[in-house]
Amino acid sequence: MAIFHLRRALTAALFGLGLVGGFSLPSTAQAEQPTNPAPRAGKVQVVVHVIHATEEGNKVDPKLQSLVRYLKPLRYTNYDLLSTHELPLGAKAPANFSIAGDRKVLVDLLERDDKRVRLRVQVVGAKGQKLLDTTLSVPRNGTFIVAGPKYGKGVLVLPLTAKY
Amino acid sequence: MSTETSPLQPRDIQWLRHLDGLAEPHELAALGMRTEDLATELDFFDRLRSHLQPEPTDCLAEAILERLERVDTLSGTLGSLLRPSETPDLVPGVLRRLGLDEPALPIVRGALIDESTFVLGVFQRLGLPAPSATLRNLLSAPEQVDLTEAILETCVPDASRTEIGRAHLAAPDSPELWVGISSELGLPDQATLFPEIPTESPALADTILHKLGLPQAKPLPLGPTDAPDLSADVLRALGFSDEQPKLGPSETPELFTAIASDLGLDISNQAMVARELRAPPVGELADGVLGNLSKADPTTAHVRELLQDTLPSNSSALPRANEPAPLLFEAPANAEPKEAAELRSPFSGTLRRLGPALAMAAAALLSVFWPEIWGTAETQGHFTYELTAANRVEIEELSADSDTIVSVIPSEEDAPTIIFIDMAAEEDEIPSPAVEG
Repeated sequence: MAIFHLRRALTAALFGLGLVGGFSLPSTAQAEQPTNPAPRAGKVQVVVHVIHATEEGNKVDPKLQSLVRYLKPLRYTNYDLLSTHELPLGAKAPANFSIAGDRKVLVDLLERDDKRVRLRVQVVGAKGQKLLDTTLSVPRNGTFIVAGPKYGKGVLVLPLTAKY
Repeated sequence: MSTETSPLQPRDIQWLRHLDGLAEPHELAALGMRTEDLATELDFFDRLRSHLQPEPTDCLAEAILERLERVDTLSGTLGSLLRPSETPDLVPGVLRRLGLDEPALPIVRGALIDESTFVLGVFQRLGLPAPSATLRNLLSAPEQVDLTEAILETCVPDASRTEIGRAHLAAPDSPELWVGISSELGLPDQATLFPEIPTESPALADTILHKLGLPQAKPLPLGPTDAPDLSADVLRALGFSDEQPKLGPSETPELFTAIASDLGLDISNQAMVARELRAPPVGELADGVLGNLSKADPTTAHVRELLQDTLPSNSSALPRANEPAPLLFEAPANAEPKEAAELRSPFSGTLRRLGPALAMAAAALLSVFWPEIWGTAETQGHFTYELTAANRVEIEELSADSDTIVSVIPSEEDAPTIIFIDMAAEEDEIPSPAVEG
């Protein structure tokens, strides 16, 4: 019977973790969900942080603590969070927003499935020049970073996360 | 779900007015809200629940259902609203709306929906069939199977199933749910009624297979017909062969009755039962399960014998190994064969006997899903990056104007990819934070 106890324990863990949408969650688990759950029904929410990275100082915005270690290749020491954009993307519903330096970021949801999402991301300069035009496939809830547009004495860093 | 009352925001009040028919879509649009976003505004629903005490779920479910019936654009979202895993406290209200019995609601409300549907989905996609056609039919609507099962197996009296199913089958609001119900009821023309819903699209199991890195379209070679060598090894390891006496219904009437009941078979027709149990798919299931049952355990030994009895002749023709099986497990000294009578609830009995297989599947899924369970999430107003291998992106196209150089910075294994824009042309006009304000 020990194996049944193991099964029960694992099953309970699966229930508690709310996996794969086929399980009921106890109400306590529901209460611990984030206040802004990821979008459902075919939508993808792309969260973009606009970060100003410089070499002046050693301050890192507390909200970026878990991210900053992945920014080491950029060799900056100071990271300020300028703004956060949450873009609810649907099919044929691209989103855009402005970032520092009169630039624009356009994000278009091309395709999604259970595992990955295809996005087109464009960064347009103040004069309308195309600074970046990329199409890429991002894992579900995965993050990638666009960096480099100059701003002040540093650059802008934009981590983008596709949540769904 | 928190019972603490939180203030309704102006946006919420507009939603409520919209639900009551007092606010028009253009009024919502003026506030930046879209009607089609209603179903995803779970935060709003949370706040609304707290204001609808003492029976929030009834009122909310009623409001949602009424609203959804009027708004065509939201029809596709009813399925997600009705998923117990996402909105557990909505389900009871929805069930009441459907006229289902009150005593059954606690079963649906809690985490007591049998995990069998999940496991059956996995089994089906792995090429191990469900133990009965009834359960296989349920899997045609994997996203709603838990609710469908709960409704049909715990709430709906047998006599009224068909009536309820037919009444709601025509409802356009929840095609996925009712495809599952119609399948259970054996109603024809599913594809005609809901052509956009593939009847063989167990998305849940597909997701699992994705995570396991297994192919989706082709069943795994787990059955005797697909992998005779493997089957032979398993049987040989267990010491089975066609020379070994087989136990059938006549030899183990009690156990046979229990298993047949669990499989949903009509035991009054033993010929049919025999056919069902001896069908090749069940043989494959038996083959897969055999390796996980303890040979020495007196409880599982009967089941093992019975399953072995169902194997197709090409498998049972394997030579018998009389020596002790190398895969022998130690049985508890005080093991008691008591489960046959107590595990006869719908679906659960057979699956409980498949405990080791379920445990293995659950363990595999835990290990695969763990990184994403604790993956990126939004907490306390800021985004927490929990970066794992899930951050690997595939760049298909990368371009820029000629005066801009774009490069991809190699990163550590689990770090997110960095696309770096080198803006040589803007060197002379770098925007300044001070200028920007």
